[in-house]
Amino acid sequence: MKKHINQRDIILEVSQKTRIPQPIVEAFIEQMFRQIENNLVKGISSNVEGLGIFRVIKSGDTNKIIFLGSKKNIHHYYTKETIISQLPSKPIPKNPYQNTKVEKNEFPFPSTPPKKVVEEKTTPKTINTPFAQNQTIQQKNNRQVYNNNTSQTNNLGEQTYQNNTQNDYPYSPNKATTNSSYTPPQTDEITPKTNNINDALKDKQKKREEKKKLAIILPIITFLLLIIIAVGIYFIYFDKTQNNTTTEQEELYTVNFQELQANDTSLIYNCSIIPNKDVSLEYIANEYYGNKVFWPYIYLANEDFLSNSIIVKAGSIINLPKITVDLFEYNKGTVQKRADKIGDNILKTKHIY
Amino acid sequence: MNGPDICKIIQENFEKQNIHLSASQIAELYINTLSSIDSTLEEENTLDIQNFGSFIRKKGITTSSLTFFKPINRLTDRIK
Repeated sequence: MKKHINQRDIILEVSQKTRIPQPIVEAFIEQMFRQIENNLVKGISSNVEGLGIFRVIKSGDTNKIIFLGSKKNIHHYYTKETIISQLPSKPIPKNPYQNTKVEKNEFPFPSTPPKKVVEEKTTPKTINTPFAQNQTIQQKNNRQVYNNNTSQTNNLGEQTYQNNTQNDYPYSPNKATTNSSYTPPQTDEITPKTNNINDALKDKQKKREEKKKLAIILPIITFLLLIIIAVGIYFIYFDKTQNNTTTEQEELYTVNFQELQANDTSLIYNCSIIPNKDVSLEYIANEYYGNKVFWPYIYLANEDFLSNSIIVKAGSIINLPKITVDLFEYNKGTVQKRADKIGDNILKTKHIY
Repeated sequence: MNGPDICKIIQENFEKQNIHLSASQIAELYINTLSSIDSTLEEENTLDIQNFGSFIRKKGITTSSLTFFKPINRLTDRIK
């Protein structure tokens, strides 16, 4: 199937075959066709073997481009060696894609390590005095700090540096030679102690952070505890006072009745009672009939004595009438409703509020 | 001007731009570009070269074939 192929495909194919970066391949192709164009503008014909001949001819007043395609492949005309023989030979630099004038001094990383690392060669093996201990620890700290700085600044050598932390300085061009001024420390005791110092520093930082957290959390916890204690004390005290009031109220409202047998022979009354305190008819009904609803019957039985009050004074005699209740109607609630109606009528008629 | 002459000029232009390519690399680039162009045209596909033109090859009944070139307007204007 016929399709349009872009210059990009040619660049990719050539780059894969020659292993030359794509930008350079692209630049080469552009340069090639640009040169052909310049030749055409100047009136010079270009014979690109394997592709064709580009020529400009006059056609009347204007110029036209003529292209004669070649029938044979480039390999029929040239080989690599024939082209090389016709090109000027120049020495290939080590880094062909960079400036060849780079000297060692201009190399971005110094070949020799700085003095801090060199000074550690004079560290004594045995440490007796505390001052010497402090000095060596400072030197170790300096080296540790230096090592960290170099690992941060140098991205290219970072991986190698991490792999060779103890025995190799990564940026010297003479790594394998022994003539370099820098010799790495050979003792193994240094690195564990430096690690211990760093761990100690980290522990201190952790402790500080924990202290800060505690300083914030502890007052909150104590405040909450105080609130809980205060609420508990309040409820306990309040409950106690309530209990006291209920007992006092009970004492206030416990009424003792003196019961007298009714002398009435009509069998209307059960008995007669004499309260020792002022008491309401509802209280008496609740005590003797089990429900305060039946107070109107007590009132009607003692209407002459009570007149316009439903409170019985202490020492007065109250007759308790006999009341027959249909249990079926009592369970339905009709008995209570009837008693309520009677009570409402009494209150309205007798103007008892 | 033939192929090697074009390669010389390209090599000089690269050196001016601080890109150092050896003679073998230049030769490889030249040969491989032309062979890839030839292989694409053999499939009767249209090859578009940026800021230059397009090439197409048409094959006849016999083994002979013709390659056509259509320049862009800018190139024709420059030549006029």
